[in-house]
Amino acid sequence: MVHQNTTMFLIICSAMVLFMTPGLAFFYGGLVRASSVVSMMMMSFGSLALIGVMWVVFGYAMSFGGAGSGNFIGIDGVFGIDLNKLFLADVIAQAKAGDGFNLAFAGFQGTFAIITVALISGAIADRAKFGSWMIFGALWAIVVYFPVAGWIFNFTVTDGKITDGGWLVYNVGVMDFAGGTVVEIASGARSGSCGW
Amino acid sequence: MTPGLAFFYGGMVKAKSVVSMMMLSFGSLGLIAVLWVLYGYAISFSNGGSDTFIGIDGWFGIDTSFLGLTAQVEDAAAPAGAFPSMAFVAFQATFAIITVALISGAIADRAKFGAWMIFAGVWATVVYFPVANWVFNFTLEDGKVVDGGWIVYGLGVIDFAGGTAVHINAGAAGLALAIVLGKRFGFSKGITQPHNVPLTLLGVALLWFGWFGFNAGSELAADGIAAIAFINTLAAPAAAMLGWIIIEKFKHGKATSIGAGSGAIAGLVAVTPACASLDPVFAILLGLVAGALCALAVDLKFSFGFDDSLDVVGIHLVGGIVGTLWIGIFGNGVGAAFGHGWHQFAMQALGAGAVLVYSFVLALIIGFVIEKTIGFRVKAQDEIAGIDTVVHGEEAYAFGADRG
Repeated sequence: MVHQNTTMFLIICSAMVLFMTPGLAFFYGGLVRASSVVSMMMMSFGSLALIGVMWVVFGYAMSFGGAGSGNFIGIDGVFGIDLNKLFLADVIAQAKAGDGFNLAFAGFQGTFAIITVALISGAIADRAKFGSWMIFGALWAIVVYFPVAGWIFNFTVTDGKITDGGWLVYNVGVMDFAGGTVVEIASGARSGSCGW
Repeated sequence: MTPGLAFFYGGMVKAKSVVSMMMLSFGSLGLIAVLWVLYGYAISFSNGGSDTFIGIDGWFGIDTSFLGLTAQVEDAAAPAGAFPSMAFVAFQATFAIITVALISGAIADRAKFGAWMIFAGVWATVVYFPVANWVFNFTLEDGKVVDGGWIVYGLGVIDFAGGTAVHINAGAAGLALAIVLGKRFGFSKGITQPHNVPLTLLGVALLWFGWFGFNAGSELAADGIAAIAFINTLAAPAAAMLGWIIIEKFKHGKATSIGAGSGAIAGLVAVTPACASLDPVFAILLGLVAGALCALAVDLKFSFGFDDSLDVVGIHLVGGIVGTLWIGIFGNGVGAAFGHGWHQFAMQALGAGAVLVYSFVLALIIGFVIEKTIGFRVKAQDEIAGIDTVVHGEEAYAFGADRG
């Protein structure tokens, strides 16, 4: 069996990261006044539901598409979608062949997408409509998070060096181990404009 | 997950019975863990081929060398298999504990703690331990089941992590107890008002977190199948949450957080048997269908007049059935949708039906006997006053109490 330890590590870590989004709901929920705590928490849980589904359907295909594959539509390293990765098809095939590592990685990255969207909701406490928030969450994920995750998290390492990938991580050479730019700055900037 | 369930249920009852509600789960944790070590594992994972086996192979029996885990202690020194069987004992213990605890949602606000503990012990012994044997106890050779319980081996039912043994089993027992104990005072739609929404959402979060272990762990290895089970345990509940709140939006005009939480649980329940057999697209569809169906099914208790207080039937029984049958339609390599015919579907239905009927009938008998002897339900005045102070001598929220 290949990659057993790393697969296990990623599955356990994914459970932990997914657990952060309800944690965020409590963090934000406790900060608002008593009569809007359900609304506050529902924005995080709504993100959990919506982005969880979108990630599996096409988010992963957008964030981790690569121009080399032949099924890629778009501009390599900037914006595009890999049709072979819709519904996680390529990594599911690998898992069925016995190696679950890349599928576990896809799930792991899904939990990042979920919490990034949920983070934004802290800027609009007490006054947002739930339905509007869900529409915003979906559109923002499509045009901002999924591509930006590709800029930062999608890269190929050969001999410890990045030899291909998103424009920020490969062309600019930005170091962002776990999402300082893509998760925190992107959601923070978006929250700034929402609040303003 | 079981304390998570205590929070999930605890938040949904009224403030004066939250201690009682949570104690039903913690009581199961205490009792079933002990029973499992003493003789539960010996019943659930006994095999007819062993000299120390007494009973009917694949149906009811006990392996006397497993009592008190004697054989497993010996194995732990030098494991014969890929992992020490003791690790598997512990993993399966958590399944037995939560299955019993799940039932308690049907009898909120009105059950005696002692009567519940007796019910839990007897039901686990005569229902859960044998049913776990029917479903979870099998021998694999070259990827094929070559021996085991009558449901998994005889019928060939696919139940990866417990759609039948855990959820249908608990759901059917919950229905039986709801009938035995009867309706709460003032049983109507308004009675479902939860006293603490964030507590319930905390329970949902803990359950989902634990469920990754429940489903992916059931592969017993960190391989490709484990990763598939894991990703489906992410996708299906997310979709089910959407399914539930969409139905709510259409029916009542508002999406509730209790609905979102219940939807996630319904999706987790439905994907439990199916998580290893589905491609993500069908896991998402399963989630949407299960979330929507369960959102409709929770109103059945008002139509039929049984007080399944916290929707054990609507979520676990209905969700468990949907997930178990879904394998027969969309399961990889067996589903009717992929040209494999309806044989698997029929077997899934048979297995689900057998567990449902067995658990329901036995729970009805055990519950009825307890009600007629020591009494299962508290006195009417105690129920109205709130059972926490009467049964446990505690209040969950002692606001303004003078405690010098």
